[in-house]
Amino acid sequence: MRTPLPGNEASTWCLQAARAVDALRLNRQYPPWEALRAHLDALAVRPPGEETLSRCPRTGWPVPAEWLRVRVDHRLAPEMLARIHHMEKAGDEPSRKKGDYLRAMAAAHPLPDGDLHVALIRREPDGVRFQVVLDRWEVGRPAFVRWTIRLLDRGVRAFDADEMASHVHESFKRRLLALASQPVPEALVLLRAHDDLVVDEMARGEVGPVLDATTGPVVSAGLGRASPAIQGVAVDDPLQDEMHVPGQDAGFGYTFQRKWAVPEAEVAGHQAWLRKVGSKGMVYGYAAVALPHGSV
Amino acid sequence: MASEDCITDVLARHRERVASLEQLGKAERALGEELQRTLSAQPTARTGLLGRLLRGKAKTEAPLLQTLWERHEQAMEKVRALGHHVEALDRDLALLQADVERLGDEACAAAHKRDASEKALPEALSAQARAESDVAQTTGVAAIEAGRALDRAKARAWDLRQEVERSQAVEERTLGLLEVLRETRGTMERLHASLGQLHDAGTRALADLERRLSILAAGATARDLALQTVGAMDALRETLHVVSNLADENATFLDERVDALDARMRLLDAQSETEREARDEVEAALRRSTPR
Repeated sequence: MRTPLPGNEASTWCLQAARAVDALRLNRQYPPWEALRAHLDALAVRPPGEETLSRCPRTGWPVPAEWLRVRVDHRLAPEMLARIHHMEKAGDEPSRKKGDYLRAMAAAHPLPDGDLHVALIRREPDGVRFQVVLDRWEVGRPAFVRWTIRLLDRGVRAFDADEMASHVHESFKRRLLALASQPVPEALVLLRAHDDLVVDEMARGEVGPVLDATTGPVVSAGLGRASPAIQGVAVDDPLQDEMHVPGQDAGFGYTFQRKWAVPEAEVAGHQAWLRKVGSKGMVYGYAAVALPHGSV
Repeated sequence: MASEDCITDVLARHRERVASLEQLGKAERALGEELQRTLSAQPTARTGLLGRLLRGKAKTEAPLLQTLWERHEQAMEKVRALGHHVEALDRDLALLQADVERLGDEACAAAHKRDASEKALPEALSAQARAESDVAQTTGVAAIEAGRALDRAKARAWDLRQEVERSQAVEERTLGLLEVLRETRGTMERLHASLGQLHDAGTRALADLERRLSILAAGATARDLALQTVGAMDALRETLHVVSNLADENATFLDERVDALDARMRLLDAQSETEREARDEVEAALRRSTPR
């Protein structure tokens, strides 16, 4: 169990995690990093009286209640600011602090639940080839994942944007959501079980988990891709002790890479560790965040 | 700060306070109604949640967890709103107490001034009577000096009477406002206790649900865990039910009290308006009748 971080350290940790997310150079196969960064920046503003930050023992991210708090207080802020207006005006210091917090929450951009986009790639004689992008901001785990799936749907003959969207929403989204917590190879196998679907490629980009270094968080991002076009299996992930990989007769190959954002001062140490465990993962450094003046 | 400024300042703050309590009443009413709707929309254990949980296959686990967290977020919004209100009431009570003390000081100062002026007035009136008699009984230089003494005696008596009236007006207005403030304090203290209890109960239920959900998130899908989770949801539902009922009670309580406070504030305004008009009239009349 990670020790909860006290106020100043909690703010610094969140700001550093936001910088790390920035430093990871995440491409479009990962969930939109700007949204995650914005939520982390909001998490850095600690509510008066609730400064301590607890983190999830499995993922290293702040616990689910922390992520939800930003979303909830963002909605409650306008009403509460009106409630304390006369107290702030009277010069009440605790109310001013609370007001500062609520204004920050009102201005925050909390993560939504998720998002699903469908885009046509092309029509084929035997169906429609398209791409589905599913973002899942699962604060309950917490896990921040983007699934990118390219497939041929034989069940669709004539393409119509609305029909496609409803088709995907109705028949496919539930299946996707159910599969989304599975590793990529398992998900691909389960998805292929649907007769009408031919999966070209499935990619799962996840930001996290987060480890602790001496001077700040180490944020990792993992990208797994499964496709019939990929030959064999190449998994480079020091965080996974064991996993089920597709066999030679599976009809598809699988790759996984994990990259890292580490406090600048600890980049060399992290690289040495990766070499030791036989990983070639990329390591990016991010600048440390100075603790607020006068803090311990 | 002059007495009038102090009263105006406290009164303005108190108007905003009462308005925000009125808003809180409306929010509590809405909360009660919304929770009733949410509660009636909760899936029953056997047909909804439990049914899905007991099917227990991995592929149903992700959406279920999401649904549970959505419920958790809805409940969390209510509980945090309660927490914010309790905290706001806490600070508002401290400010109200400071206002009560300031007004208490003002009332005491006004009473002392009135008392001193009332005590000095008989002496000033005797001096005036003596001067009047001197004027009537003397002639020449002595009469002119007696006239000057009479003018001074009348001015002194006028000032003292003015001071008595002013202090009395401040005293009455301050005491009236103090009474309203004390009544509001009673309302807020009761509300603070009630919302505090709800907040504590809600926080405990949420913490319990969070603990169980984190076990579920770790991958456990066993039947007993499913039952536990249903138990946690039931406990949360029960808490929300209590919150809903008490929120409704609070709303009714606040409606009544805020109406009463509003009427008192209007009366206070009307009183001060009438007093001011009366004082202006008296002053004008005295100015007309007083020889200069």
